[in-house]
Amino acid sequence: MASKNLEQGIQAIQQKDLGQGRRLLRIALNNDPLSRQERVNARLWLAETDDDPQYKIEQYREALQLDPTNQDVVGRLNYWIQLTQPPTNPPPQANPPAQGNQQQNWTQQQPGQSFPQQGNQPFQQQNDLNLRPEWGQNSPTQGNPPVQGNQQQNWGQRGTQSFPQQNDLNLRPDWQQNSPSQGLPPVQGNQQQNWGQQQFNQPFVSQNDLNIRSDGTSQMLPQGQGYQHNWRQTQPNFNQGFDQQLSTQNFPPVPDQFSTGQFRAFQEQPLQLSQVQRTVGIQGGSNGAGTGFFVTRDGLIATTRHITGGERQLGVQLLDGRQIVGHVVRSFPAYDLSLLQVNVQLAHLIQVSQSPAIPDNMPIVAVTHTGEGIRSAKRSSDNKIDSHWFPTLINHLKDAGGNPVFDGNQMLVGMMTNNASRSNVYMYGLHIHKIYEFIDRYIHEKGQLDGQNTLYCNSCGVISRAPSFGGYFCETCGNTHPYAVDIKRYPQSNLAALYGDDQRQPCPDCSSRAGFYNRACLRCGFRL
Amino acid sequence: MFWRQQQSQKTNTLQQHAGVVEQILASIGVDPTRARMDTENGYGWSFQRGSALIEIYIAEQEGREYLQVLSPLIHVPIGGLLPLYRRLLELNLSLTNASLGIYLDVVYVFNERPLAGLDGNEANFIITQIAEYADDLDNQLVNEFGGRLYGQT
Repeated sequence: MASKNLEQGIQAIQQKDLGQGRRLLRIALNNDPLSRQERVNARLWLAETDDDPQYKIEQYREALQLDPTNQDVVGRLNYWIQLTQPPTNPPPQANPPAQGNQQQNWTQQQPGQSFPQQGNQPFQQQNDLNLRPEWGQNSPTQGNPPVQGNQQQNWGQRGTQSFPQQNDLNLRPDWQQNSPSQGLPPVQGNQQQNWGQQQFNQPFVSQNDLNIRSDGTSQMLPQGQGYQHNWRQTQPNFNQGFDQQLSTQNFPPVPDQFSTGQFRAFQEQPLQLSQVQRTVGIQGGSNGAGTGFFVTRDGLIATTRHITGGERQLGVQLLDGRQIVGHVVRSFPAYDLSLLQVNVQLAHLIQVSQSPAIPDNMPIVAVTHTGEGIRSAKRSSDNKIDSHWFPTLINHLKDAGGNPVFDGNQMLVGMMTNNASRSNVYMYGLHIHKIYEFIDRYIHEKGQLDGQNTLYCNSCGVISRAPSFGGYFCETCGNTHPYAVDIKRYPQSNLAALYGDDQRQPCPDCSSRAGFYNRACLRCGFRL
Repeated sequence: MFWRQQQSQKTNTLQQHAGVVEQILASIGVDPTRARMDTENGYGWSFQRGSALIEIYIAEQEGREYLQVLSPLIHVPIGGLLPLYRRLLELNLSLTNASLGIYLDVVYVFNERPLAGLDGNEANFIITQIAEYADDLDNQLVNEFGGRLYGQT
């Protein structure tokens, strides 16, 4: 172990000297050059030094920030957040993921008895956009037009008909009293010039946005089975190697009950979100934290490829602070779009604008995962731009992007990306219709490949069928799949069909069926 | 690389540089007379360093002379080229002071630097490095993607 303080601190906790253990761990965290996993470890042990749920939650959140995909931390954090819910939410029927010798304390601590109450005031409206009072005074909301028929069916599970209220501006209780109307002020004349930089920092969403049922928990990832046979389970456990590096001596012990299946069942239950959740935070990507939003009721999240990068799983933070793990299931790099799947069931989705285009200068609001809104407008441009991109007057985002963009009627019109044109710094959004077009494509692909052994290729974003054939490489981009990285690989001449090597015209010179580019053989360069 | 070679002309300057290169080859234990190759334009030498075949060319580009050190690795296999080409690009990013490329159906690893200021030590370093890369990569690529080692059946 790199740190003596860490080692001695853990030993002290194991010997029930919690105060000394806490002191040593804090010294280690503050002064010692700990690795990331050692820091996670230290936070987990620190959480064991105090019975205060808030203290534990704080430590687990710190640990999650260090390692957003750590399942153990996710499970512990979710359990304690569940316990701190108000008494109206009965406790989850599961054993806490904590060390065995604290079992008595755990069982004694029931929600609503010894835990402080969180700010869970009753959800009063289905609205979840908070606006500053001054913004809402001139523009009464006209209600959202109902979504009609066919389009809804084409968009998979996207359902806006069941959206509970036509009024979806969410006002915090204290603002509601001062803000009689909702909606964005109309943009008039030269005011438009200011939209681009006009931002307000009041949170758009309150903690009340979520009405989480007591049985809602985090999702359960497939555990370290390496390669799996179902598309939903094809993500290898990338924590496995990481976990193996952890000394069991240094990890808080897990009680026997943890592995009896109860906790697994506890985790496998999908989160039930009965209210609209405007945004989620996406954490753990190489470009920093970003934003995403639900696009289907079964937990599909849209965000940008810029955020997900080459990751296969990322931390997803719900509005109440709970962290769950999201699997990247499909990406469309050409459109800077990524889709994540989380184990969540939603009752309602954000209402989607039916307009095929966003008029120039129309006011828009981009909402970050922290609940902040960036007011701007659609920028007019003389350049010829593909219709699925829309230029904005936003030149700086508060996070890495992926923010849902709403129009003046609070309808979802697109998603902010970090893409800008070459001639200026203003950023572009991706139109929501294009996003749903790709969602349809993904759902179609998923249906076509159901039952096959497939894997998301984190390099090009497609669902690769190579695992079905034992292929090492993605058939689209040639990237080596994770299960084949550390194995001895051999030429696979029997996979010509997978890689399209038997479908093209053979080269007259070398007889390769690699194909031609500019009439030159891709293998030998022979020109037709 | 090669088009540069084709463009190179037998100028007095190149002759002078060819002399310099032969001195350098001699200083690192290579017989320049035996190593000399016939080239259409410019000068070339070929010799074995370890198990790797090394080829050296001098060429002129925009009034500046360059030393090219390269080693042929493998003949590209008939099928499964997408993952091979991708791997070559990935390797390209990981190599230091060397690059991978394809000419006709042969994969090469090569290094190129201006001749001006080149001394025996640096030339030796470049040749050794290219030879080491070639030794590492040729069998690795054939084992994974097929094809055959350069010049072998």
